[in-house]
Amino acid sequence: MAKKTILVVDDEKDIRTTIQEILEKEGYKVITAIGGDDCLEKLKKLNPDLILMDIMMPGTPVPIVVKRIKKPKISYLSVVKVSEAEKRDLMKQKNIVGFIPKPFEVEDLIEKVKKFIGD
Amino acid sequence: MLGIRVKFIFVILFLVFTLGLVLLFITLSFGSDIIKDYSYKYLLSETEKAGQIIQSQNILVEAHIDSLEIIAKEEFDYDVALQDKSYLKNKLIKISPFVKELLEEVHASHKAIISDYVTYSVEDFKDVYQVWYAFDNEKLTTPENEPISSYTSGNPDAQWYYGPKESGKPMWTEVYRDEITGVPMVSYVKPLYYLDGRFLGIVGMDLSLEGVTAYLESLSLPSESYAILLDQNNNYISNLSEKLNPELFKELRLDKGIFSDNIHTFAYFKLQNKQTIIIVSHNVDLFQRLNETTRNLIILTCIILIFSSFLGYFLFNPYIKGINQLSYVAEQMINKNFKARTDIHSKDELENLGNAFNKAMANLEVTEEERKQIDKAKTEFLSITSHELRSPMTPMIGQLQMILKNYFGKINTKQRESLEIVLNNTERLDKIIVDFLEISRIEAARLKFNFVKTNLTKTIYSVVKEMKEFMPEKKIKIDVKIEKLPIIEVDPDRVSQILRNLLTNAMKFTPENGKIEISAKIQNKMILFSVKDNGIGISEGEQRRLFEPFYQIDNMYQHKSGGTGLGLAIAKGIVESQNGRIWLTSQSNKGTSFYFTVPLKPVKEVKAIRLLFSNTEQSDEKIKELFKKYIGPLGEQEFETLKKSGVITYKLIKHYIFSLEKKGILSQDRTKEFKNEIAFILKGEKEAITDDNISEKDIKKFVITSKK
Repeated sequence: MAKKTILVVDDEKDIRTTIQEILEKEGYKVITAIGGDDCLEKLKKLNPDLILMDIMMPGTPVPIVVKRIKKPKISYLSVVKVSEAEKRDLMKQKNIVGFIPKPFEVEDLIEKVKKFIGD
Repeated sequence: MLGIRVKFIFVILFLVFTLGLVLLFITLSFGSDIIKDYSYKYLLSETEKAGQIIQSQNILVEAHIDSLEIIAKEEFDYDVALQDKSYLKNKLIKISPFVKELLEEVHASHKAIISDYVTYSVEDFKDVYQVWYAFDNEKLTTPENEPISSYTSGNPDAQWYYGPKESGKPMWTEVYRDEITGVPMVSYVKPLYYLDGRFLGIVGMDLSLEGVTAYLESLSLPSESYAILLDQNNNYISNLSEKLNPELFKELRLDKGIFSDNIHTFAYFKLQNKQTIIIVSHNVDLFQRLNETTRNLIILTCIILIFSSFLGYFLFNPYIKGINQLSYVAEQMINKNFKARTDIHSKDELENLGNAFNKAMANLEVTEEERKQIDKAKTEFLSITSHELRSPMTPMIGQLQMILKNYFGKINTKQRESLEIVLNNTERLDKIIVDFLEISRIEAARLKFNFVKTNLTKTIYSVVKEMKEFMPEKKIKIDVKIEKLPIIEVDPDRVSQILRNLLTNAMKFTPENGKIEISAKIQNKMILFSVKDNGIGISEGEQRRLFEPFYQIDNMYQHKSGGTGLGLAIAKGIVESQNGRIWLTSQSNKGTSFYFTVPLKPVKEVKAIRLLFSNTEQSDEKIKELFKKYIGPLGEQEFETLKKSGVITYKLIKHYIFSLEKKGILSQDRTKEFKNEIAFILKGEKEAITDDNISEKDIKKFVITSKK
């Protein structure tokens, strides 16, 4: 079975590194992007199974970026509270599958990702 | 609301109406008199004028007769006189050319010197009359050959002869009709004398009254009015066709006057020769004029009033508009719409007021803009801070966990212990950061509430279920006693947060096998939650400081649960920014009960709550609580009133407390306790003892006891 691909979008290098290490250990293929614009660029060539997206990043605002991503599943990964995200209408799109708060427990992250896209 | 414009119109209409009534009243009551007066005056003056003209004619007549007076020097022989022209001339003195002609005619005719016709015209009327002499001589006869003496003697109709002869004075006769022509006539006659005073004869002038009548008819008088002339015996000289009752004119005493009966009004003027001219007019006619004039006056008044009211309205309209504008702008000010402006150009105080308003609004607009900017900056700051402070946590915790899970190779026990310490403290730091950010938000009124329709019963049970995992070894029983709660709009996460915090605290301070009771009910448009435990209780000193940030009662369970000391402060912030209240009651060794209220209807605007230590506010709060404690519910109000009177000093409060003791409101013991507690709060333990001579024992009551 082919490895499932996860695209991690976060402006902080350490977070990208940490998440990549955790998820690659679990057997996923991990691609990273440094922001919303970079994410859209990478999506022109890739088709990941899941996108983990931070909310507060410089560049094109995340709500606009998310509107342009129709196919892959997206889960937010942010310090922003889920209730706040709901208020900002970020959770409405159909391909948004979940919300992982930062900071997270390693186990928690793995569990949620497995729930979203399987092993 | 009845606008100022409408009220003003009412005022104007009322004033105008009142003024109109007053004017009308004056007009009608005095006006008619004035008009009547005026009409009367007019009639009277016309009468007088006409009278003067007739009078002047009469005077001319009299003057002429005067000029025809002759005096005889001596007796003369009429036979001789008839023969000799110069004879009479020598006998008579004061001869006028006219008499001379007469004498010549006498000679010619040998008849009595009677009659000649002279035409006079006086002003604008012609009258024909004759002038004659009548001498007292039997030899003389009338043209009809009748001896004059027989004609005149004993003839009552011969007033024209007897009158002046007996009175010795000239006079005007009554009116009579000419025998031949039938024309109404009146005569002016004068006696003549010899030098020695004996009666000689009469000279007279006969006036036809046609001229006078014509003149009187020619007068321009109001329609239906006419003029009449009466002689001295009230016989009609003129206008003999009209038959008025002569009785009316009997009592005319004054030289001139005016009087009315039911039908007519009479204006009269007495001439020098005792004739009277009267102008008669019909009352209807007079009053018709009066009514017409009154009606015209009323119309004129109405026009003036209407004009005045319009004028008044237009004069004041700018002020009404101005006031309306001011009112509108003031309303906009209240509604925080600072763009509205007034536009008043009345060049007076109103304009000043308008300009002041405009300036104020401009200032407010600027201030509002600034406030919005600051507000925006605050929000941005908090969200950036929050993000920046918490972001490092993710890689920190993540990497530590990964090492501990042997992601990078197996680690030894010592390494594990060490890393676990680091990880725990990282997690603890994160919690403190989260709590501190909450406090910042509470202080800046940036708390974000997510009000949704919630089934509170479910929420409570969910929290209770969660708490069952906390300190299971203590085997504490949690009872839920809640009334049927309606589904209301609240933020369930926040309510859970508070309950969680209270339950955590309760569980820490309740002994093993203890009991905690949670209840919720509706009270005064709020939901009252309570968490009651049967633990060790909290002393009064501790109670006061409980909600302070970072304050924690020493307890062996504190560190284990990793509390930050901010939980209650945050709970207080959450509750109070929604206009709720949080408080507790406690008894040593019996238990503690925490209460908090949440509004049934969510607040629209979140209040900023001061939590971080602020000297005055904190002590004010404490003192307020004391007031409530010793005086009762009114204590809060008493304290507020005291605050208004000046700065809160110990002296001020002490004075107040003692005044209560004097009034008998506080007992001696309570007064002492109240005073001591205030001293403790305001001055602190040590200073209270030294400055106020309060015994150590008394102060110790209030000091925080940290046992265990």
